[in-house]
Parts: sequence; structure tokens; C-alpha cells
Amino acid sequence: MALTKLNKLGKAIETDVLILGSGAAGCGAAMAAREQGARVLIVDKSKIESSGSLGGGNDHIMANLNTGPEWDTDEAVVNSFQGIRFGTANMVYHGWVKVIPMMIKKLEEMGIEFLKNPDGSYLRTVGFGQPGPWWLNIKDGQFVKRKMAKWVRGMGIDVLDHVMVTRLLKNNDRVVGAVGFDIHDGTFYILSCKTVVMALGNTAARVNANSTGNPFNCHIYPYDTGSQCVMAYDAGARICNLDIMHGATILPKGFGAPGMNALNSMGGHQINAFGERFMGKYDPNWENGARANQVLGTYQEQIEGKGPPFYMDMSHFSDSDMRLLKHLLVGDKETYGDYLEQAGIDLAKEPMEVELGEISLGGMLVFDNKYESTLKGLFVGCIFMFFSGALCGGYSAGIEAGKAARKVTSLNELDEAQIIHEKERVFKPLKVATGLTPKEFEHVIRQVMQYYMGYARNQKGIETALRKLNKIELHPDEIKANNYHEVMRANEARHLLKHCQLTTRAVMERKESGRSLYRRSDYPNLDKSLNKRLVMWQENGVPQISFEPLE
Amino acid sequence: MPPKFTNDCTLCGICVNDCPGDVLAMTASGPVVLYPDECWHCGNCRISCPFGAVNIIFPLSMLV
Repeated sequence: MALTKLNKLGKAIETDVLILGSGAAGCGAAMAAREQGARVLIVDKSKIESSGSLGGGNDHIMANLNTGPEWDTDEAVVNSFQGIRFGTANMVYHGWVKVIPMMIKKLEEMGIEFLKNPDGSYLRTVGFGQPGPWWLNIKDGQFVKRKMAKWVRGMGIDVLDHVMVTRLLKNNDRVVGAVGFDIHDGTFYILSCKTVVMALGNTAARVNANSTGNPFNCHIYPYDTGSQCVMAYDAGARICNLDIMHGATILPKGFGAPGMNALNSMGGHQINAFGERFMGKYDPNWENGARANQVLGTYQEQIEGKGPPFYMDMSHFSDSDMRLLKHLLVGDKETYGDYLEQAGIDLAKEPMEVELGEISLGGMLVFDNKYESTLKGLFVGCIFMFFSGALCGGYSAGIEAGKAARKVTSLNELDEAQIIHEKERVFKPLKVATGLTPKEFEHVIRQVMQYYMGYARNQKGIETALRKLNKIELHPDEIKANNYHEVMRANEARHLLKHCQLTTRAVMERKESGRSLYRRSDYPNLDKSLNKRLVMWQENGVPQISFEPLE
Repeated sequence: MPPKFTNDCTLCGICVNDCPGDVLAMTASGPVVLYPDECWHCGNCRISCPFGAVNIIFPLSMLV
């Protein structure tokens, strides 16, 4: 058990391995570190039963099972994912692919079921233009996180719900803990540990909004505004890939939901306003190709005036496929059926209107072959993508964080001045009498990002965006909060601003198109010499940038 | 705005505690959606409710 005591600054907790974030990656890291014999504390501003992208449900998990065919081998998956986004073949294999078969068995031990064929084999489907049917279909995907949370708690892992972590604590060049606050009663927490795993998510949401204008109504978890990269960067870590890790998808009109894997992989047809099935122009696998091609293809149709409206047509599905589709959609987002009913959509009879969704940002920490960041004691749990990548990558980082904790004989001393300064900074919005609400402050950030940093960009626009974001930074103390919920939103807004500034600075340097889902009109082609990671770090508060090849 | 609570609610507060966005609050007369525009429509409140007392009602802006 973690040791808890009160001190003059707040509630102090001591543990061996501190996991920041209780989504899929955090749960994977916590399980692994606990299996290494460490005391483990997992912290999140949400509750572990519902936190993270997985808390909203998930209907598929990507898994190679090595059943014989060439497409089902470790090598096939590694070849698809190695590169500047995820790392070398060695990293993809050891951190993700090698772990998958064991993790599928572990999920089944938790009570998570996968759909089976009549002969008892897994029902597997193909998606994202991948070379084979790597996707297992999850039964009742909306309950996955509940079952995982129960498993984690049952392992004797300490869980601290409803605490937002705002800053990492350092002792010289080593990360030795973190501080945060309870989003309900404001209790200030000082968390001291031997190693830390960062598992707060690789994405930053609320950067812009879809047609509803509501940034919380988005396709990914909306309560993650980039804290993973921002806190690590602030502590002095090197971060990377902010320039290319942008995300977007096609949404049911007005409904910020995932679910496109089921619609695409089962044979849905995307149609433009003229009734044309157009995706063949943009990807050889049509709708079931690369998601970036579906997004950019739809964008191209839109600027050519061939939509909106756009539609996904599933009316040709067999009755059994339609039943399966509806099961999967509700597994991916529990309220999908309510949406269809209230919007008056019958998927079996008519096409569903869809829209080009909002852009999310992303980024990750630079790490070595032990998943340790460029700061000692700080491990990286969010590396790979999808449920599978988050869970397995977190697990791999948790093993190393647990092993490293064993080598640390005692907890490091914490710097009281750092803690006092952060406590004052975090709660400052409560003392602001007149100013912008967190919502108003965030809206100003989105005004810049949505206007200049959309699907098509150019150097002048990117420079203008950065200048305006920097102007906003001059006013962060004007955010006011009336309660601890709003203090949470205020600190999320601060992280969102910093993440947008760093991303905009990074995008300015990547003078090419084709490596992410935005296009640069001034650099419309892929530049093979830029097949490198764009790494950022700070020196005396000034962002530093370097293109670095994979090692 | 989602969610909407029915008369079957016993004021146990589990839905409030489980909401990942902290958009709900408990009052003397039951749970309320304190920050409706921060709701992700994830349905965790409904999954958590032991009494089936949660309905999901989408705002008009999401249905047009």
C-alpha cells in the first residue's frame, strides 16, 4: 500500500511506481509494474472505471495471432508500423507486437469476450488498408473499461481517482514525483515515488470543433488537452512528432463518435452530395483504406463542392451483418443507438448523413529502448496506437518502470519551493476577480487554430497562428474559476494553449505534405529527406527544434 | 441535454461519481447536469446506474 500522510502543503503519498493516467495505457503500465512487485499508485482526474478513450467503449482490438498466414505474423505488423511515428522495428516488436497474444489472453481472463465464428475461431475483420484481418471484434465493448478497472483494483494497485496532476517534480535531473489536486474538494496532493510512467494520452482534444460548434462533442476523449507532452516538456524532457500526429475521422452528422472501423470494414459505402461513391479516387482500398485518405478525400470533395452532405450507406448489408454492425457501434460508443433513434436514422433502410470531423493534435515523448524518456525516472506509457497499442505499450513501459524502481533504494527529497510555487499557480484562477472563464479562454485558442491550422495550411498562416497564440499566452492569469471543476478546466486550457503553441511551431518546420492529414499548399509534395522525427525541447524557456533520424 | 434522470433514481450518486468529465452534480432532489455542453455522451452514467434511471436525450444541435 502507498503511504499517505498530511503535511503543511497538502496530502502526501509515497509509492514506488507512480502511473499518471488510468486509461488503457495507464492500466497496462500499472498491471506490469505491480507484477514486478512494486507498490503502484495510478492517478487520474476521472474515475478508473470510465477514464480515457477506452472509458467510452471500444468495439475492436488489433491483434496478430501468428496462426500461419503471412499477414498474421509478427513481421507483417512490425513492417506496417515501424517508422518515425512509432519507432524502429525493434521497438515496435518488443513494445507492442510481441505483447499482443499474451494481452489477448489476459483480457479474456478479465472477462472481456471476443466475437467468434461458428467453428469457435475469432471473428476477424480487416481495416485501415492493412494487409490482413488483424481486428478482433469485442462483445459488449462498452463494458471493457469496467472489467479492466476491476482487475486493476483486484491486483492491489492503489487508485487515486478525481485528482488532476499538473506538474512533475524533479530532484536535479531526475523525476521524483508529481503534484495535483482533487477536482471536487481542492485537496492538494504531493506524490513521491521512485519512477513515474506518463500515460495521460498522446492526443490533445478541443483544438477545434465539428459542425455542432461544441469542442467536447468530439471523436476522441475530450478531457485530454495535451497534458502528457506539456508536463514533460515543462520538466525538460524532449518531445516529438507534434508536427505529424494529427487525428480526424468521419462522424455521424453532429455526433462526436468513433465507429468508422465497423462501418468501413463491414463494407459501408461513402457517398457525396451527387450520389457518387468517391473514395476509389483517394485510396485503392476505398473506404477501408488509410483513415487519413478517407479524411482528406472527403475534404477534397468538400472544397470541390461535392458535399456536404455526405453519407455512409449500409442499406445493402444482410440482416445478420446489420445486427452485428449495431452491436459493434454501441460497443464503440454506448449512446450510438440513442443517436440513431433520435436522429430518425434506420441504417437498414437509408444512408446515414456523415460529416468531416474536427482535427485533434498529438505528440509523444522521446524514449529509449527501456521506454525511459530523456529524463531519468520518467517512463513513457503512451507510444503506440489503438486500444492494442496503448495497452501493450503501457504494459512494456510498466515492466521497465517496475524494474528501475527496484534499483532505487529510497525516495528522493522533494523541493518544497517547487511545490509551493505550483500550488499557487494551480489555484490562482480562484483569486481572479474579473477575467475570462476557462470556456471563454479556450474559445480564443480555437479561434486561432480553427482559422489558420485547418486541413490546408501555408507558412504565412502558420506564422500568424503562432504569433496570435503567443499573444494569448500573455494573458493566462486572466482565467478565472469559481470552483474546483473550473480550476480543472482552467489548467486544461493552459495545457491546450501550450500544446497548440508547440504544435504550430513544429508544423512550421515540416515543409512538406503527405506525412500527416493536413496539406501545406506551399509544400504540396512529400520530401523524402524529411523522413525524420521533429524533436522539441526547451532551453531557458525557449523552444529548440531538431530533425533527428530514428536510432 | 443528456442525460435525463427518471423517477426511478434513488439519489445513490454513482452516476455523478463515475462521469469521466465531472459534468454531473448531486443535489437534494437528485443528480443534475451542471455542465451540459461538456458532456461527451459516453453513456457511463447509464452504465453505472443500478436502477435504470438514466435516459440519454441528445440536444437539437446534434440532431440537425
